[in-house]
Amino acid sequence: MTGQRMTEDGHKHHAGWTAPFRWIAGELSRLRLTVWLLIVMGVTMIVGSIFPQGYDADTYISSWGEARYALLSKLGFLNLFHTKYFLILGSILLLNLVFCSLVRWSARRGAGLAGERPPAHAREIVIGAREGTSPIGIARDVLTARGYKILSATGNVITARRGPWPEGVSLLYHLAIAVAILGFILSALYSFEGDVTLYPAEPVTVRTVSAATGANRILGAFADTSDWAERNVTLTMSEFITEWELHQEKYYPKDWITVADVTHETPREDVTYRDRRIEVNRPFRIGALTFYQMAYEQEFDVVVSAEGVEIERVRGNAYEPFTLESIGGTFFPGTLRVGTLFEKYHEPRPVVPHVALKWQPPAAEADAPDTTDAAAEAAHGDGAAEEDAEHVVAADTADTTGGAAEAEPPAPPPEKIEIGDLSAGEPLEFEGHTLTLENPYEGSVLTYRHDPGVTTLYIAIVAFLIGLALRTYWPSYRVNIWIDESARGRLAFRATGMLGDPEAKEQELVRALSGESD
Amino acid sequence: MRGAGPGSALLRPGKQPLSHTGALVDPQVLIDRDIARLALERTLLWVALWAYVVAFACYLLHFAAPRLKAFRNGATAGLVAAAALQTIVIILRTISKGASPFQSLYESLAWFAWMTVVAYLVIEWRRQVRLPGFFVSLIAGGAVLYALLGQSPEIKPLFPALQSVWFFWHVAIAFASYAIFVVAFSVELAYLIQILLWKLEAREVPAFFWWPLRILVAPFRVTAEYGITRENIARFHRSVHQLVLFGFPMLAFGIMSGAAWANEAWGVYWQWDPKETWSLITWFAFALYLHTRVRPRWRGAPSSLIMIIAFACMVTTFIGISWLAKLLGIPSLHLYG
Repeated sequence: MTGQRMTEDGHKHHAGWTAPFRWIAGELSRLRLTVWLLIVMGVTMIVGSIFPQGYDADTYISSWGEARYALLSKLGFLNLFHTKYFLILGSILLLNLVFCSLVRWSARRGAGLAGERPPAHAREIVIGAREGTSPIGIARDVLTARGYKILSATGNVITARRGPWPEGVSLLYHLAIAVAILGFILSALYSFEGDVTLYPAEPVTVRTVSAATGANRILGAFADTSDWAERNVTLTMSEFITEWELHQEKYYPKDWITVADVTHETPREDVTYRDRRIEVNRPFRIGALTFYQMAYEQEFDVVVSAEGVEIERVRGNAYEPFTLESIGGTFFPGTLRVGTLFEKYHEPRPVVPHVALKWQPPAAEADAPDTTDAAAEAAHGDGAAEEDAEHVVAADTADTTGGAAEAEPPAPPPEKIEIGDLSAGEPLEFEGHTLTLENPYEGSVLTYRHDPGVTTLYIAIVAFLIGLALRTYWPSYRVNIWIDESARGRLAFRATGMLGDPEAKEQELVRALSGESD
Repeated sequence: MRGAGPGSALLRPGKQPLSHTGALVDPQVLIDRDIARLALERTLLWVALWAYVVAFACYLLHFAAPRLKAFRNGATAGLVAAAALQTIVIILRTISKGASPFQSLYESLAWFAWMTVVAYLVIEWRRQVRLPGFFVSLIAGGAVLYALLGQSPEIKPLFPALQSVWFFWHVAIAFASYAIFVVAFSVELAYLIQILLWKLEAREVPAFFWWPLRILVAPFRVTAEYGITRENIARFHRSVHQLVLFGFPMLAFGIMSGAAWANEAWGVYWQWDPKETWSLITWFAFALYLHTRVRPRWRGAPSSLIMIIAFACMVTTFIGISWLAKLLGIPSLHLYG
């Protein structure tokens, strides 16, 4: 573009310093740009849905290898939706929406008004005579009586509308999308999140500011937040409620509820809210943060006894393997079941604390029953000793099979064996020992998030849905009437909104104008 | 009373539930009743599947002999019967589980088929056009068949995150939009076939393609008996636009209610999970379609092409992405089914 535009007589006209802005506005308001942006964003999103997003480098490397990870990472495919490129694309779409909406609105807001001559599709009408009232007056009365709002009445031409203003509503929901994109960008730039684990009567303080925002990441700047003004939030859990549902002899999680006292620092004095419940699907909002019930941490004591005497005690965690010196091998606990149990057609009842346990025999025992003394000793030891045992087994295999052993793949680890429930109520007999569970202890894992984009998004979404629903479903009729001196005329009827009945409404209007009905 | 669904016996302090008349009820009796309900529900769904098969066959025969009212009415009757049977299935399921019946893929497929058929029957009744019914009976019947053969009907307890007021609205409205888009797609296909038939009749296609295309569309003969004529074809095609226009705000609501729900449950309204991403791609595709309808130049082939792409995106969002995620090991928060 040259910054020049043609006048009607074909002369070039220099638009001055505003020309580039006009050109940019013109380009940004093109529908063709919208179409291309939607296509490009759609394709980008398809790529983003194929490659798992936002994992750490180690996870990718362990799955794909370093070369493939390096390539995909360089192409930006592994964090596609948080790249500058995607942000720029979103920003262009935002500008396109704003310009498109405003330019079209300004061009079309008067488009519904009747011109001097009726269009070809306008139907012929006859205005019924009424004493003392002019035909235009009759038309005005008929329209007003049927809820039409007169938009203009000049000479013998009248324009009226009933229902929402389609152009205005269209502007509303297009701008709402633009505001929603703005909310998205705000979230991407300024939100932060974290998690805390609460244990009964142990206060945890959460800062309400963070430097770990998208803006800092994109700009490569990490601000020091140590002296930022903030109003910390302190949570002290008083109770953690876990609920389970029994179905086909399996436990399904039903709910987790954290009951906590929450103290919020304010400029005057700290305010404490007692016994606030934070539940799955029922977050708790305070200050700039929202807390969500996300998971749990579970600990328990595993007590080993022989002939009624305790010989070993180990602190275990759900899903974390542990070893027992007195038995050997590795134990794999599942989830600790504790809390209240619900079962269809039964009364809720307390759960006897228990955890499903699997055991993996020591590698030496499984692969080579006639292990050396060193291997047998190592099998009852800790992780380091297990490594030693593996070395011994490898050496044994090499001894018996000769050089061929080096070419064979390493032996698979022994299979895990389900040994039953480790319970607080019923001892578990295993390998000549008695195992019991004691001191079950649960902590609540909450995530928290500060997201300044959410409020903007909610407002935009509500406005968008209302606007789109009004435009799509709610009937809106616009009528233009041209009347000549002999009380004959033409009527152009336009309807939007799928729930309307334009044919019936038009017919009704024609009959009323002709005086056939009131 | 917690732990008991609607229709179940009342719980009292103690172990045994009470019936509504106050008598003691053995829980096993109630469990047996649920099992019997499940068996009845499966039987009805199989019968519904056969109704779809009958409807599909009748639509096919209707193309061969369009003047015979028996096939035309038989096709509609088949779909009405299938919809009625599925209504009973949905009611039974809702009673059995005490919650809305679209938690698992089995339930979602049945719900999707039911909504599709209901949406189509409304269109058929209003427009008196039967050609799309062929595709609708095929898609709805296929969904029910997949539910019956490929998915478990077991009613499992809801995950905590699914126990939300958003669940009903998010799923119900999103599936309503899917159903409407299926009908729109069927109408679009019917339109394209009709146009192709006319072009073949007038020998307006290249000679090389004439025979293969002729064989491909052989079941669909050019006849006004299908309700489509040269006079009303433009109006018929406009109904695709009308349907998409009708379903589009619903899809928007489905996505946005899902985001609001995710914000309540997970603390993040949007995580670019493959399912979320594909729902947005689908929305973009239908938005693109609606924008192509604004310009007369784009209303023909471009808009038809985009309509088909948008429908493919919708199918990917509904089923395809779950398959892909499982196949490729892509982590997804939406793999409940």
